[in-house]
Amino acid sequence: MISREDIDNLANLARLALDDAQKESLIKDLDNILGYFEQLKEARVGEVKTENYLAINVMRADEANTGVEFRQNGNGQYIRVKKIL
Amino acid sequence: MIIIEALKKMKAGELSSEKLVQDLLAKIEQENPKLNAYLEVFADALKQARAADKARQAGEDLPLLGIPLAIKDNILIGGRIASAASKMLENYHASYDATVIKRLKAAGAIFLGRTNMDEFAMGGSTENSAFGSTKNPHDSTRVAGGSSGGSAAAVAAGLALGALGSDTGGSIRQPASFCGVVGLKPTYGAVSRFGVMAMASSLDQIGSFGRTVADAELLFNIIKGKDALDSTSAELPSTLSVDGTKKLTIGVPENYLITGINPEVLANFRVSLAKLEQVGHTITTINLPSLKYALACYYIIMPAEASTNLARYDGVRYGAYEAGDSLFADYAQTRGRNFGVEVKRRIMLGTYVLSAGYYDAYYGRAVAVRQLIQAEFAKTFAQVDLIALPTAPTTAWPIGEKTADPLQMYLEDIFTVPANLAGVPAISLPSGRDSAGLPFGLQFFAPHFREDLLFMIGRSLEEV
Repeated sequence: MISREDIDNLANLARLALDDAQKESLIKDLDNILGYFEQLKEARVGEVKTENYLAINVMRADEANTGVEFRQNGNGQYIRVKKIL
Repeated sequence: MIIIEALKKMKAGELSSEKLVQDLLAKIEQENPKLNAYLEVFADALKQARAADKARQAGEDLPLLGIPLAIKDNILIGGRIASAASKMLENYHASYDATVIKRLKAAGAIFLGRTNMDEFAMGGSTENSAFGSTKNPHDSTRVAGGSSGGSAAAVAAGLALGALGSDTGGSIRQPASFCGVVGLKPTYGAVSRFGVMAMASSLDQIGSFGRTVADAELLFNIIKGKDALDSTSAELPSTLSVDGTKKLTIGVPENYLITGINPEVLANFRVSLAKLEQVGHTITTINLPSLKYALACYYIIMPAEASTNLARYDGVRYGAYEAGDSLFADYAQTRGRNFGVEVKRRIMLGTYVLSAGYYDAYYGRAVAVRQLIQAEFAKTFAQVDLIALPTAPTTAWPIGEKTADPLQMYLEDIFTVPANLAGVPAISLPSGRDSAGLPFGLQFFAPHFREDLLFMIGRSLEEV
């Protein structure tokens, strides 16, 4: 069962500002959907080794990208953000 | 008009791209206010057409010269808005062309406009668009399917000759089925995703819509192939010389056709297969015991990946921005106010299945089950050429019928998600109408990079 506290925590992790009505309906929806996932418990996955999973990340070199549109928070050269510390 | 016919007429000098686009624009003006298939019709469509005509007069003969196409709103065309039907990107202008767009441009295609979709491709009805739902051209009180509902409706209603969409769990095939057109989801990696907005990166594919199999095939042949900008892309094996008259063995996973399927859909499925059997193809029962877990598996992996992919929409680099009193509040308010209900639901679900304490029970398990499904597909394709399923368990439903219950909406994806989980190519083919006049779709899966077999069975079905 999903609690109100869980929803607050998840919204925090996901950086989503939600009002009370949205949170209430999410409790109901997530409970319902997670209930549907229960069937996966019976799947016989004993033989499967997840380290052999075919989908792997292939990274490119970390290079500056000048093609990004800095519309509202910068001057085209850099992005301006609020103080973090 | 179909693409192949338009090309023939243009080559013979009987039709100009300008005339073709003029006719389409007139029809769009008349039909689009009702259907809402296009979010924007490009003001320079006629200019593009005239340029194509001029090129043809100068002796150019490109494979799609002067052919007007519609593009799903999550595929970037440099300089134009790409909103993914979200308030978040309502005014975002793409700064470059997606690889598929670059390839279509090089082939001479012109772009009529960008089509409506479920926000960030999350949905199966196009009702999750921030800019109003798309209506089904066969009955405007019903959904067009989704998430590429605008592209499917545009092609079905004759508002474009062909279109591109994206398919993460059925988003090309299901609207193609609901609107009565051909929809292809290529093999994972067959088409570059560079420049399509990422939703679930291990599942997403770009594919084509056409009124005929040959049109969908023609578009696929232009956009396919390795791209240095997408590390998951691959070159297709060079032309697989299949004899077009070869008879195929088609497997039917009977154990998966049990629950929740509309009787009319099932009856149509049987009749369509019987027709294929009559012309010499073999129908056989196959057993894919793990297929029953596919939907649950998909609805864990997809939101998990989507929740991380959508982290980039934070108001800092592009898109909407809502100022708060801290950087955290900037993020949370921008995202809270500009994402729609379904997008927020999937972000929350994805965050949950990836969070500490639940990761192994949900995400880890889903990844393991996905491998079981992949292994069963590999084994099955050693015995059969194709796997057949209906595209969707129902035909197009009335607008609003499923919006209150997200799980009911998810269950509509039951026959399409296995192809994405296994990474195999799949096609939805029109196969008649139900008693209310709504189109049915017949779906086939083929082994990796065997799109040729899908086109072959498609042509066979068109002939019967």
